[in-house]
Amino acid sequence: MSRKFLGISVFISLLAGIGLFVLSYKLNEKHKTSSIANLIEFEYSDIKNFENFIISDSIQLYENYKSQFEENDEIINRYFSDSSKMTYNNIIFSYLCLEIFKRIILEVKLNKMSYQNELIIEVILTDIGQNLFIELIYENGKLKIKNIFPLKPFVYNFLEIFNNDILYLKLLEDLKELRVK
Amino acid sequence: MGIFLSILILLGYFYISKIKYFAPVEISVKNNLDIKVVAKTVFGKELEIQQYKNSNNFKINKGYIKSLQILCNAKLSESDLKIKIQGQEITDFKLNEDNTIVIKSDISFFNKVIKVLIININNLVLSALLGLLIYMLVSKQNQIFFEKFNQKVVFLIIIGGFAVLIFAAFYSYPNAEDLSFGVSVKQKGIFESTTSLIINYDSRYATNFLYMISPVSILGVYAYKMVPVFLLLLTFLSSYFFVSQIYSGKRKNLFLFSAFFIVMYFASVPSIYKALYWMSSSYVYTFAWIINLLWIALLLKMFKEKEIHKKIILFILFVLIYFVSFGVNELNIIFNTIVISFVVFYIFKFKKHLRFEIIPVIILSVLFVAFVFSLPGILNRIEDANYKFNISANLNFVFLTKITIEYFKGVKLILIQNPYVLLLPFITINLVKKFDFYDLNRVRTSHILLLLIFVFLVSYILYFSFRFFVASDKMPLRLLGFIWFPILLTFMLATSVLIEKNNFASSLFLKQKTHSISLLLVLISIFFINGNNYYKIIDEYKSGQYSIHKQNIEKRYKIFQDAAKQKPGERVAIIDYYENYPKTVFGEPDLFPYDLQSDMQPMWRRKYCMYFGVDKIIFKDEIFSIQERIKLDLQTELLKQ
Repeated sequence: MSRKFLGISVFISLLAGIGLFVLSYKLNEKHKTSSIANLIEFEYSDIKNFENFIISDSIQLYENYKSQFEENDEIINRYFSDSSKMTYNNIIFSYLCLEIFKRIILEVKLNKMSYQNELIIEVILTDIGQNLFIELIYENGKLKIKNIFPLKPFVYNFLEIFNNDILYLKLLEDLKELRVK
Repeated sequence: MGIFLSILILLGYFYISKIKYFAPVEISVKNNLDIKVVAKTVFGKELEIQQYKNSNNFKINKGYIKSLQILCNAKLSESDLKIKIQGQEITDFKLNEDNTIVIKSDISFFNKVIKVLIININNLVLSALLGLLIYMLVSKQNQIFFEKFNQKVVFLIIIGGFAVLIFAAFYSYPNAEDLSFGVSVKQKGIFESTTSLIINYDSRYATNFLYMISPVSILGVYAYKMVPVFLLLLTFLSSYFFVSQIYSGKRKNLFLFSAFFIVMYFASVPSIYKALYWMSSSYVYTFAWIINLLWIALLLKMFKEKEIHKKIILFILFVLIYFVSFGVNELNIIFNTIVISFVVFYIFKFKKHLRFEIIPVIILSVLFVAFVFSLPGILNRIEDANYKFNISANLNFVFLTKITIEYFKGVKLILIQNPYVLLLPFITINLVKKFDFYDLNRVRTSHILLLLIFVFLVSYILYFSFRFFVASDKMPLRLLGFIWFPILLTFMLATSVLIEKNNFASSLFLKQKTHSISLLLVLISIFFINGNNYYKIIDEYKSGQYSIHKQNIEKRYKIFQDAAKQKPGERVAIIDYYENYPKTVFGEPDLFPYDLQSDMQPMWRRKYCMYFGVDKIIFKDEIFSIQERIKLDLQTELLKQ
């Protein structure tokens, strides 16, 4: 009986092993294709798509606000005392993200990224007490963020923000500048 | 008669000394105002209250106070004082022209007496229990009386414990981290969210899947209360299944023992919030033991099973549960490896006829460990630990000593807070009645002692492994709670076997009277002594924190739901901040003002926003600070331009 059990159980174990191997292989493949590196991948030809994406009410408001600020200090009260007009979506956090992008663009320019393959930069975010190390790679005409660490939930949030916030506007400008150069 | 009267006087004094009416009172005074606080007692005597710890605050913890008088030399305004009576802040006090404030209760004497009795019901019960205990110590009752009495007390402890835990579950609400899984499910679905975490974040495939199918992710915030109740029942059932595999006593006794163990575990666990009421933590640490006990029990059952078909069904079940176990938390990889190594050693040394059955288990163990380490997420964990904490630099004697001292401090902390734990083996032996497991006659005292040392060693290895990768100055309570589970279970079971094997100890502790006294002491300790989880829950409920918390949280949900109905871009939720939430059922990470929790606050707010479908969440007090901040930022921008 022991041997019969051994045969069946080893067979089940091997089946489980094959299943896990396949699962692990698929997950690793998925990791390669959908990792952070590819989540933020910019291609110059994609800029057109960005443009469609960035036009939103909040950006318009932000721009209006910025232009009126110099003229009238009370504008702040107008926006903030009336809660219905508070459309600055996580504005502080957006600024932090903006800082990260600015820094990326600056470093890319300073280090002549196009002649180098890889670059690691450190972004010090004093506002939130967190330092980020961003590993950049430039290959086949694409600027990619290969890795960001520490890979904290903050980073995912940063990506979420990146996907739908005013940052696109700034990024677009900077990228355009980079392309011209 | 003399003894009876002495007990009565003693208890009467104890009860009166613990009376709280109007108390506790806390008065915090702003600035350097010269304040005098006078309390009027039951007999009209006036007592001047001294300042608390040299600060300009006054505190009255207990006693029967008829009224309070606050006197000040300078001019007082309402904002100068903060008065809290029985945990509730009083705002409607009247300021007299002569700068005095008088606060008194205006109910009749009869109502007062009733209220005193109700408020202090725990002290009354405690006095009665102490009386019973002293009476038992001096009286000579027969065996049958104590046996019946003991059964009732055991039921009382179990039902009381479960009732308190389930009652508190009704006041548990998800925090920001718990909600984040719901956000992920809404965006990507259950499987995609789980794989995304396994790919990018960690290797906890089972826990991540559980998060995604949790009631809060699928049914909404109010379904969160089901989580602790389910966990409680599952912990109980898996303990029962485990104990029934190592003891073959009466089903009723094993059932009672398992329930009693669960009540004792949740009474003594260092943080009940992290062990039961916070899903993101309890699914990792408490759920781990549900699964670990299950796979060990299934393995034992499989070894005992003679019929081949049943054996194979048990094996398949074992494979599934064992696989889940590796995906609950990283510490389980270490635990499972140690336990399986021990089983393999034991079988090849003493039970060679089982060697064919252990071979597939060895193959599976290697496979599962390889699978976990092949997952992309685990690399992230290691990288993260490496980044925060230089692992190789910490491999030194000083660091080792530091963690070792911390481990012993942790265990000592639990024992100091829960000294009744030492009485539990005497209760276990009476609950299980007769041990009749695998070759009890061949088990020697040295084996039991070795088992206890082994469990302590395993718990130490688990503690050490965790601390090695997670650097923080604070002792991690969730980890302490995690290692406490096997320690308590083994301690309760193994030491009771020791007692049974020792004739003298057995004759002493199998006595029903000794059992009664132990039970009563445990009952008093877990429900009436401060520092214990059940006491904390009851105390927080009585102080009104639970109901205030419920009101505040539900008010927030209402604000979020109302805001979500607005037009996109205008969905702003402005909420109040409150800090006096009950620590037993709620905690970080959650919504806090930026100045308190700046690190991850943007992310947690965003999770709330996404869960409830609002654009922005803001605390009332922050409106001004954000204005300032934007102003500054834009000024800098303009200057640059």
